[in-house]
Amino acid sequence: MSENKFNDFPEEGAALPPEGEAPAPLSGEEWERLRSLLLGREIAAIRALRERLDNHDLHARELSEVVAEAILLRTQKDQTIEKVLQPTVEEIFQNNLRRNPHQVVNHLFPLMGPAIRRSITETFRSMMQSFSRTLEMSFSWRGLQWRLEAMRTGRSFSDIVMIHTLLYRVEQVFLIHTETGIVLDYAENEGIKSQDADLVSAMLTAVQDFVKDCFAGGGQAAALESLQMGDLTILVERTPQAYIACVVRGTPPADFAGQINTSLELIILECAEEFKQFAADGDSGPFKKIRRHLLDCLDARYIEEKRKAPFFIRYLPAALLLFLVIAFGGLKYQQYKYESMVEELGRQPGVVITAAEPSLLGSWRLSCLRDDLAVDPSNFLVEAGMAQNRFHIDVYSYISLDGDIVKRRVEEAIKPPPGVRMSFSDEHVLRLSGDAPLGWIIATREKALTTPGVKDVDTSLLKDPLAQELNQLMARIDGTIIYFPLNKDLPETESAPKLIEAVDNIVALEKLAANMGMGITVTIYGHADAIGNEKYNYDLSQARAKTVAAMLYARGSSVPISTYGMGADFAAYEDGKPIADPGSRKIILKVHLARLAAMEQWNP
Amino acid sequence: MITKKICMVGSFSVGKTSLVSRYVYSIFSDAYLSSIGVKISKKDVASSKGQVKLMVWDLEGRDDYGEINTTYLRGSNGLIIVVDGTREETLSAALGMHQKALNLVGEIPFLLLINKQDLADEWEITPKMLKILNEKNYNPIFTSAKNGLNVEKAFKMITDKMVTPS
Repeated sequence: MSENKFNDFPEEGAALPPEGEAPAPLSGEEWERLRSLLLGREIAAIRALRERLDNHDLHARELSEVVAEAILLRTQKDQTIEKVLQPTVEEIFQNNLRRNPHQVVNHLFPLMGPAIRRSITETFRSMMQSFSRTLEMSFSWRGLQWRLEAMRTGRSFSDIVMIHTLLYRVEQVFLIHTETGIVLDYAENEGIKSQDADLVSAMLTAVQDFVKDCFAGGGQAAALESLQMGDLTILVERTPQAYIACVVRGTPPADFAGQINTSLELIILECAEEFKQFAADGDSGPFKKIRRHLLDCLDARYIEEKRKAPFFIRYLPAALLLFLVIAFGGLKYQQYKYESMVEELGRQPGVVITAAEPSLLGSWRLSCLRDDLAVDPSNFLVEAGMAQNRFHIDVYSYISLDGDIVKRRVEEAIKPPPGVRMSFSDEHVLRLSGDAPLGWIIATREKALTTPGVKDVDTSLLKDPLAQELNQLMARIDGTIIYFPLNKDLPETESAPKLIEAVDNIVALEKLAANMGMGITVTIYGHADAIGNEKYNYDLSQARAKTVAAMLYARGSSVPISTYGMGADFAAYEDGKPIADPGSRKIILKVHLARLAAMEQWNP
Repeated sequence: MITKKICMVGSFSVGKTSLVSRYVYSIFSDAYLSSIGVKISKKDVASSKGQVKLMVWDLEGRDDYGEINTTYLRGSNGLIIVVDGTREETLSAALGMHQKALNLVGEIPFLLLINKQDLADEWEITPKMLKILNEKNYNPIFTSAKNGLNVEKAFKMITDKMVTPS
């Protein structure tokens, strides 16, 4: 076969089989050639088409080119795509939520944060506005008047404030389907007590129809534009599809109707499709999306303050009053504080306030009596917190008989050694107890009794540990008798040991007493019998006493010794006649305790 | 939520208001009927399309001759025609009202209620009349304001008719 089949065909003008003759049947090959000559292009096209139909990848590529436009076209036409996709999208979302809730939360979080913040900010802003307004109203003179009015009329304070300050406020906004009177959407201001919006809308529509029938002859052009009762006005703006009714308290501005109209037009523009749908199925749900236009109508304006003075001038009287209250209060408080201090000073032992005069500016002039042992009045007041320049005080000395002061005074006088306890009774009796040297005890008793304010001293509970030994020694010495021979001033020989013992005891007693802060004195009484004349006997008795005194000194004693010659004053007589009685020839020793101070004055 | 307006019409004193008063919610008194000629109530009814809110406009029956304030019929999605079974003239008046409504709002779902079913002794609607009514597809339902017979059913039926495209 040649390379080009077409070259095998007869050339143009070549002889064809004569007419009327049946052409020779075509062989299979020829037939094939003919077919490819006649249908070659179509066959190629069909093959290409079949390939496109079988190739899914190609399909996807082609569809991807037009899918967006297709969706757009269909969405503009109806809501089928939304309805078809809705269950699938919901299912995807639910499955996703079930499988991986954290991921969903992560996606939502950036959205929720700002939304919550915004909501909280709005709430706070609204709260602060109403709070500051209430605050302003509560503390002004006008606010007080309104509060009285609220009490008088039995209405709430907020109502009265609103009546006086409100220019107008849109309380409720209804978007109502014109033909059916069915409420499509509704919004109201905070704190409004509203009735059922469905019923109110329907009845509002009926009332308009009623008015139209009764007074406008039911003409289509005529329509009710506003209703008024008291300070409430219902403003109506309408289109054939829907109308907006605003319930307004107060007098709205002239351009307010225009504002409603703008909102209504926007709604009609945005909801053309929704109105058609509503006519078909009566579902008002889709109208929720235009709520913002209704909220725009919820306007409110308040009367503005006239000629508001600058802040500091408005609050100047209040500030001045506050300053005066604080100043007066401060002065009063200081006066009270100082008064308390002065009273407290008067309560101190050994201090008597005789005069206390506060000046208008809070200074004090004081006069008082003070015991030397009492607190210093000036120091006391300064330490209590009174400034030095806020008082002047004249102090006069006196001796206080106040229990505390007397106790302090006697304490200073007697200076009790360690081991001595002292107490001072309300009856001003000083009680001492414990161990102390006898000399101190005796001296203290004298000192205490001469201290001003002490009525008595009780030393019965004070004891000297050495006192017993002292008493024993004294008892041994006291009353010792030494006998003398007739007409002699030297003792009998037999009496010598007794005399030596007495002398030694006196020396020991002297030392013991000195240890106890005491001293002793010895008195020696000399006696003679009645034989002989009186003068002689007196001299003899004196001589006997001095002899013993000399013996004491000779033995080392240094005690003060007094000697007395008693003569025969105590001699024995028989039948009224003097007798030579050996018992009358004697000396008698007496020993006395004395304080050392007293001893020092003694000059033998 | 789907909301539908239905009107209740019928001659004076056929018992429209009493029939539904126990089954609907309203904030308005009956005085509205005699003053502006309509009293509006609402009722929620479960239907095949979910919950439906019915706004029931109870129109004042002015007389026994089918006089009716047609303005209030405007936009109505359904009609409940009430007849007093003890007064035959209320039936013809009702049919007249239906005709006026048809002229104004076109073909809308309706229900014919023959009320006072409990007063058998005074009944005036004859079987013959009923037959004709059935032939004209009115398919009346007997109700009683006294015992509440078929009231809920009637609301359910008219709702289903309204939400289901014919």
